[in-house]
Amino acid sequence: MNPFLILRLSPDATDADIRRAYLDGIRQCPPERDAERFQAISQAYEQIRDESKRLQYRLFDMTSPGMTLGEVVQKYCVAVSPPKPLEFELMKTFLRSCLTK
Amino acid sequence: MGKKHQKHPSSPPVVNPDMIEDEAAAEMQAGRFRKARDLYKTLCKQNRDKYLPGLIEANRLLAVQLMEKGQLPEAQQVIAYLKTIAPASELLLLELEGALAANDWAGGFECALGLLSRSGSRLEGQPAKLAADALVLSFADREAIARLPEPFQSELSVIHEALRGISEMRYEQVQEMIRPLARGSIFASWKMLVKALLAFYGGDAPKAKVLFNQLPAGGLIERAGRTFGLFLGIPHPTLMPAACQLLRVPELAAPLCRADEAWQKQRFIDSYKELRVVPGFPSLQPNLAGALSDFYMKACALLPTPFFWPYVSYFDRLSLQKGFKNDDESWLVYRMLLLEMEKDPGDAPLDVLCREFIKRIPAKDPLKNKIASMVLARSGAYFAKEEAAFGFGAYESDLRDADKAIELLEESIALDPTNLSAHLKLLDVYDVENLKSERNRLLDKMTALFPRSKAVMLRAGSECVARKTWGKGLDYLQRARDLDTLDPEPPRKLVDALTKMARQYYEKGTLAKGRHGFERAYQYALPSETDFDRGSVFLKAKQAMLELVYGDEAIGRKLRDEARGESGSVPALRLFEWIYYRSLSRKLRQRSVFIESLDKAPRPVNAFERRSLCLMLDYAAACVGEYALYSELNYVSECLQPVAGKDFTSEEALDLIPLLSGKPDFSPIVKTLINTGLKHDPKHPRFRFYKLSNETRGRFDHRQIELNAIRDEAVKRGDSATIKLVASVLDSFRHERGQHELPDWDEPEAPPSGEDIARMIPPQIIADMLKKVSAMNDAEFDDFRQQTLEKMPAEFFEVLFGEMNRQRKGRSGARR
Repeated sequence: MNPFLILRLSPDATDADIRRAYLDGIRQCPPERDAERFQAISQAYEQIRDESKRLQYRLFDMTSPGMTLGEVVQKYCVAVSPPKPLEFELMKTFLRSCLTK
Repeated sequence: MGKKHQKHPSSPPVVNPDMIEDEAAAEMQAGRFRKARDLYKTLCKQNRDKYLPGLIEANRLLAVQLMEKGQLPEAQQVIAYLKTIAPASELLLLELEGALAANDWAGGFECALGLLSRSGSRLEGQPAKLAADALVLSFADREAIARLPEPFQSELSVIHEALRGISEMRYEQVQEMIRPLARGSIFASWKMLVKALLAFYGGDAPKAKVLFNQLPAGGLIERAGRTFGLFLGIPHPTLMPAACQLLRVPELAAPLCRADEAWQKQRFIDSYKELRVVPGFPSLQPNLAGALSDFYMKACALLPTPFFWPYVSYFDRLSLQKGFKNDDESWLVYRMLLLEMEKDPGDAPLDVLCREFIKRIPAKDPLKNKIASMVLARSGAYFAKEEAAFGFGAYESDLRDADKAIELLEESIALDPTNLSAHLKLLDVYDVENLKSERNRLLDKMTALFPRSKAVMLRAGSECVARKTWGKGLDYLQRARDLDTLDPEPPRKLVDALTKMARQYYEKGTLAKGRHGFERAYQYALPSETDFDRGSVFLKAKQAMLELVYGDEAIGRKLRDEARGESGSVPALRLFEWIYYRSLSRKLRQRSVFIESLDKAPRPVNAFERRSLCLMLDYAAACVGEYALYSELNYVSECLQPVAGKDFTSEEALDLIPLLSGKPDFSPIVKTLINTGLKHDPKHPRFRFYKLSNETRGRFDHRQIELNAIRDEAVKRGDSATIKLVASVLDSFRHERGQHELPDWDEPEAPPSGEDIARMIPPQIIADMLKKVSAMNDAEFDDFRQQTLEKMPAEFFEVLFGEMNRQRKGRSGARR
């Protein structure tokens, strides 16, 4: 999955931004609390920690974010979890959409 | 006179109502409600009072079924009919379901209100759940809610307010708000959902997971909970549309479902096309559209082989027609094509593709030059790869295209002079192409440009040492060492350079400088018995030889005795002295009377000394060449005589065999070691492996079954070293075969099925074949069949022509 997503950064983030996001991430998710998330954050940081690595990722990374579309959506959801709460009108739409099987 | 009613000549057969009732029940059971309804209608004609409930139930279930299928007008018709036969109370629930299915939230509210007004707190089970859902989803205003009886009025307000509170992140307030809601309330499951949402948005993932799992099964509450579960890593394949709502990308929901369906049916390009119509897709942004774009552009490795080229070709056509949807798509497609073609370029002009990709870099991108430089360097590296070339009857190593590699790498460096990997790669190309002056100029430039690069310092240092520019070379190597004090490579090269420099001084007679060189080399020495370059004992031995030949005999003897005294394996050290002595200038060497020949050297007395001696022999072969060894081989052979006489342990044998294998002088000893080992333990996996290796000269061709048996025995004994050895051989087989999965050699590999082969052949060719075959008469077809079956697997023939063959047989049978 896109490391910028995992660290919740924009693609133009600087080295300092990335380091800060990494440290915040591992502080919130230490390995004893959520080993999977900790590993994802560490891997993401290694992928984009400096400009050269960021360019390597942008240009040459060919690791698929999942095996199926369902897995991509699933991984994306986990990467951005928890999302911001929906505005009330959107919440209504979401709950109503859950009525459909 | 009126027309007299004429009785039908034959009266309908009398059918037992019980039988019809049984049939109707069976149809109901099977979910065929329309048929059941018709049967009940017939029954009602005979006894309306008795069979009316059945008719109502069949119609109700039919209406629900139609609603579930989305056939709302048909469902409405059934409900309209029900209104004519069913009491009003029974209709309400059905109308409620109909309203919800039609997204008529106000209608749903009215039905739920009717239900609650009639049944009140007695309402339970599915009707209660439906009523609660309808009331919540109506999100009705205060006036409407005020029409509800208590406690439903206040409970509904609480749920609505709680959901609004979550949207506005007033979590603590919501927590307090829902506390009084009773467990027996019809809104209890909504309360559970609110609690789970509080844990989820509050960041308490474990608690949220538990709460989402506890939600009542079936219905919208469960579906909502499972959608949130996706964010907690609980997979659920059918909730992508709902997840899109939560992710604020509702526009992706429906196309994503269609794309997923197409992907699962292996219609990969159609799948991409389904999403391509969505605004904002494909994208490079870190959002869901970006993740999905990433998936499609990196999916080549996931595709079954027959689908790979059609998939890549689709994007290739897009690039040729310049039919890109947006800039992001053009970037992603060129990137994919470049990286995929690089693996197997065929006739693809990789450098052209690379330049096309560079054109896609946005002009305003501050890293434009860097990116272009990296892409060019990557393509340059591709052309700089060595590959086997046939020449003068032997395979030679050659670069793919040295000129193109140099052109691309030089262009890359011109665009970004700080691109270190491009510099290093270009240096390699100059080396292989023997362009010495270009290489030296580049290396000089690199030392100035990259003073903090260990790789550059090591390359420059080694180059200077090779040219005997000692001062500069040692300076570069020292800088490499300072840049990474943990890397053993710089001190190794430093010791090598210092001893070579010292030897030159000794040979010239400037002894003081020579001794100073050794003093500096000792700083990087290790107390090792097996590191023949950096081991202090070996450094001392080298200096001793130089002193004995060129310098002060007394100092030489003293150093030699010290080294021998410190050494744990004197025979190996004696061999080392001899080899170093041999490498000195022959003219001077003959004047020396201080060096003892190997004849007088001591013989090893234990396994450690024998092992060290074998290692030293390998070192000697690397220094002077295997064919230049003669007296050394004799000496080692003599030293190993006790082993040939079977005076050894299994451990020593296992240690020595790999060291001696492949050397013809020692093959009798190796055979003795293996045979003796197997005599003691015939099933010993390592000795069996060595025996097999010896017999096949390390090729192991057609011996896979034996290898598997050895591996099994090693696994049984927990012999991890042998397991690794066998695994490496099996890996090399796999590599040679270019397979991802290694077949079990005990069983023959399954051939591809006829359908697999048929899928690999372009449809046009198959269509042409079928056309030709269909024009044949029976005799021609039989001939064709016989000829084809000699060249084509029967199964494949069956897939292509089986149906046609059967039709022919059918026709000829009919004629007969």
